[in-house]
Amino acid sequence: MQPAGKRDNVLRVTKRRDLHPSQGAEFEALVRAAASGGDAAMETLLMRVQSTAFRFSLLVCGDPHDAEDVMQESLLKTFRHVRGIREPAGFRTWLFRTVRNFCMMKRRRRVGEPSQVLSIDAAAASADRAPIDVADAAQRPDEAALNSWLGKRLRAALASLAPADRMIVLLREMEGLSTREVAAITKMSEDNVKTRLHRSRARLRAELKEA
Amino acid sequence: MARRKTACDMLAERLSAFLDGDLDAADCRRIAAHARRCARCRRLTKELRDTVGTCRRAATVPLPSGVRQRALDGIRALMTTRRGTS
Ligand SMILES: [Zn+2]
Repeated sequence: MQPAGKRDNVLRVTKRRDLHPSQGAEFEALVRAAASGGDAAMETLLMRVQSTAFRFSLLVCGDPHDAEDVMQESLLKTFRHVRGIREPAGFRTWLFRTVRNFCMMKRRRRVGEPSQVLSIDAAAASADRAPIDVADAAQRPDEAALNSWLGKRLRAALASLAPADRMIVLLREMEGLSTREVAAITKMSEDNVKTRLHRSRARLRAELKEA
Repeated sequence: MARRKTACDMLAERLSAFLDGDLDAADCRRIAAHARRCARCRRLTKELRDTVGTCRRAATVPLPSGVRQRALDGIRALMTTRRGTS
């Protein structure tokens, strides 16, 4: 028999805003400051974008070789986009759609086949691209570095999900987006997002337990 | 033959919504009451919560150092062009 306090802890309801304190508002303020010429704000924003883009690319699109290129392309695109941004509140939605599009283009170019990632907005992303110096292939992170970064078990568990479900898990659990924001990015209904998240959590639980 | 839904089924179906605080007060009470009685569902609740926690913690780990350094180089180069043109 567990003590009552511990049992109640297991049963407590998680407040998302406690876990990701006003991340959306924080991003929006950063974007506004960067757009109005603040160098420090722009640097901070780009720092946030690099980890978000790398994580998304590696975990959702699944290719470590592409992840770093996608990160660099997302930095450049953000840098240009923010200068003329009209709706800072929509920045995060824009960012995830942009990163996803870069992932899809990478995959298509590499294997010459349709991406497994959701086929949305590919056309919109193909415009306005510019070359950027990308890291030398020899400098890419190796598997060992990536596994010690995120944990081999978690990477393997995430890989067992369908790409669309991986994206939902990443956006909701790791990036702290609301169901509504995720629905806007994926163009799914909010109910569908919730159902898929529920299913994915159950699957991840089983995979992590087995490992 | 369709099996009647048990309290355990009800909990399993709604656990994700429960953890997110998406259920109304009556459903929350029902789930909490069942989990207090049922060791299996209590374990399931804990494991699902831990799974969500594992994902969330993963998002707070800084990038591998090599990746981070190359990103910083890229950011620095962009900031130089910004200062140069403004
Ligand atoms: Zn039960």
